[in-house]
Amino acid sequence: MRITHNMIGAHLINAIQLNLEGLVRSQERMSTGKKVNRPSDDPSGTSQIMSVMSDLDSTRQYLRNVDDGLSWLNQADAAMGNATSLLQQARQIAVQGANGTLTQEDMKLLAQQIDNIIDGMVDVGNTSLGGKYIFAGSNVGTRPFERNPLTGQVVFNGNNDKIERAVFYGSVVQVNTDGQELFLASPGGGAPSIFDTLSHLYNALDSGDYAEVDNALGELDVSLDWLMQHRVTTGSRTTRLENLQTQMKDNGVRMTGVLSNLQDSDIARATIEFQQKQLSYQAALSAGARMLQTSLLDYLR
Amino acid sequence: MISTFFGIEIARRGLMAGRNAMDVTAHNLANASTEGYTRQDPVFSATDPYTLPNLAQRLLPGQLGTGTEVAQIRRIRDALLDGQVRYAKGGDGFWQARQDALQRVEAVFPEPSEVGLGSVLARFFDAWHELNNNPSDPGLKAVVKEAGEELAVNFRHIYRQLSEIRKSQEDLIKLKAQRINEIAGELGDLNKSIERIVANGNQPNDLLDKRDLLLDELTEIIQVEVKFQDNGTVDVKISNSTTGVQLVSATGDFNHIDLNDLFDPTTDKLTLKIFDSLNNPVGNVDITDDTVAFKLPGSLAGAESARWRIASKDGSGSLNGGYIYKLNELAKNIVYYVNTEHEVSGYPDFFLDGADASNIDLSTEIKNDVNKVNGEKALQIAQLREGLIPELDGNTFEAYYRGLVSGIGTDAQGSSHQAGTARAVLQQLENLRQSVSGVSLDEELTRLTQFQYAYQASARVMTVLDSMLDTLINRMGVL
Repeated sequence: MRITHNMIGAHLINAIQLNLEGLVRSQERMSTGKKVNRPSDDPSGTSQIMSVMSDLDSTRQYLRNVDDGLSWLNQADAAMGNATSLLQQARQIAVQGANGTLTQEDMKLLAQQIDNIIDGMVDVGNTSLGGKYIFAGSNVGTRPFERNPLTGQVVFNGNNDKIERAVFYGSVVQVNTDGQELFLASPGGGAPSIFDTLSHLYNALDSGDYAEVDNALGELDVSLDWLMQHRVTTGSRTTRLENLQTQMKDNGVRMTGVLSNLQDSDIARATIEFQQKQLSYQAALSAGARMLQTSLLDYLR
Repeated sequence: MISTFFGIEIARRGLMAGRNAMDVTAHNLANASTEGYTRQDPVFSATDPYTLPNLAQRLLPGQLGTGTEVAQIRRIRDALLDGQVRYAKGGDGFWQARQDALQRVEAVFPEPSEVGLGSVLARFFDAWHELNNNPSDPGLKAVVKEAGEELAVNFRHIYRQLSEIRKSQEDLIKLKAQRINEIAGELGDLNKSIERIVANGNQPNDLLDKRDLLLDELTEIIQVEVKFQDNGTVDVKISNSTTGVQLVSATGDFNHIDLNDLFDPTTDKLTLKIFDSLNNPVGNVDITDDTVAFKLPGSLAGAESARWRIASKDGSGSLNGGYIYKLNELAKNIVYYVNTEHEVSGYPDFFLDGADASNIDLSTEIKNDVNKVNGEKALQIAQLREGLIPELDGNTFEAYYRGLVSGIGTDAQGSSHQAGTARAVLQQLENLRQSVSGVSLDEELTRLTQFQYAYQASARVMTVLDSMLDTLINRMGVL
């Protein structure tokens, strides 16, 4: 093949361009630390990376939702724990009042303690988490339970809405307990609600009616059971969320690994590649520089 | 009997031929770097001998040569290679133009990254999740509003950039068509000049170089059929796979493309309407083929194919794979689904109703009052993220977007590979052509030396004859 100086020049320009292009690609992979820097670098890889990134983002968000849900459930559990001890106090008082040996004055004193317990129970019903009343349904900004100072009647200002948290793909968990149902609804079987039981006990003690105190004692046991039922429900939700939390944290770690595999460049390999490209670039430059210098002109007089 | 001064004439011819050859060499050297230049070669030939052999006449022992002349200045060119180069130029032009445009499209989508539309979309749904954790918190409502605003701005931004690239392709196509017209004019003029010079018995080497260079450039832009005539002129037709329409005729007449009527106002397809110098229609060449596999040699078709890849005019053409169409579908469905969930129990639309990617924005009510963000439906809206949308071929929003991005990636990658291959083929062929037609400095310098010696030798003959005649004329008569 006949070779001209222009061909050598054109070859050199091409070779330098190609080498430089490779060098820049290599350098990009090293400086960004990523092997996929634009969709065309690896179209299917891009799609996978975006998909994993989206999953990771979802997982992070779900974890936040689970954390938030757990704080609701834990707060409700604590509140119901307080309610249980209040009911147990009331039960001790009732046992005292039911043995028939107390004077009317002593009975009235006991009634006074029950009155305080009812106030305490109202406070439990108004338990809040970060300014939100957890037993108020969706009406979290308003105190759900109020006791009429004159009649002693407790009224509910909340609603029966569920508070829900999306905790996983397509999975929604209720994180609140219906305050009206818990405190103001009958557990069934003709038994009165928690507040009604307490006020029944109060009235019985206040009027010194031993038999009624005894009845109220039975109702208190039903109330304690009722409370326990709700605590168990809350507890099982807590367990579920905690399991999910562990699972998602594990998943997150795994997916981060997958993402890294998909998008991170192997620095050792990239460095060697870079060195190779640099070498061939320098070779092209030096060979070209020498070729272009020589022509017959150097030897003609 | 031959004249006493006959030898002088031979020497003179030798000198003239030597100088002539050196001039050609100098011309070659001077044009070593001229694009499209073909090296020229002086063809020496012996001039007619003093007598022609004749049976009836025998004056001398054989014929006597009369010296040399440069009979022709040859242009060293391989017409077959030219044809191959022209063919390769078409492929190179198409893929290069398509790659240029698609790389710009790709740059509009900074994926995979934390800043692309994909992440913005994820953040939008995350904000709704957060709001669901605190449905009436005005701070979180503001976050949702901001996230919605960011999403809308991103959509509009991408839409505008894609539209601009599409528009710039139109401008590019117009420029290319304009260049075709210019080349047609130049080729027409060259045809006339070449015809005249050839008729005078000369070979217009440099004009032929210019003509071939123009043909190369033309085939880089659009597919043409080229027919060379015996008198050096050329007949050029613009063609697609089915039709060919006269652009330049061998007589020197040339036609032009109507630059103001390139794209059909209804179908938006590109058709080159060709008119003669009196503005009479000559014929039309349809360029656009609205299939994904559309390919026709030349950068004009390459630019057009990229334009249609971005979108048909209203996005509703048969090329529904157009990027803008997909972007619009995505935006429309996000607007529709979010609004449907949002606008209940007295709450307004979240996004402007019925918007697509070009005009997506928050609704006026949401813009004016952050409390109009519906916290009660936050969970449902957040969960749209995982919903399979029938209008988006049963994909989630994010999966549809991923499909769009990896589709663009595939297109860009394919074009870039093809452009690389086409470029390599072209370079090989151009190398071969250079190998035949290019000027080699070493070669020319060698020939220069060679011709210099030939010139010196003829000069020496002249000197010898001179001294011979000096003896004959000045010395012989003297007593």
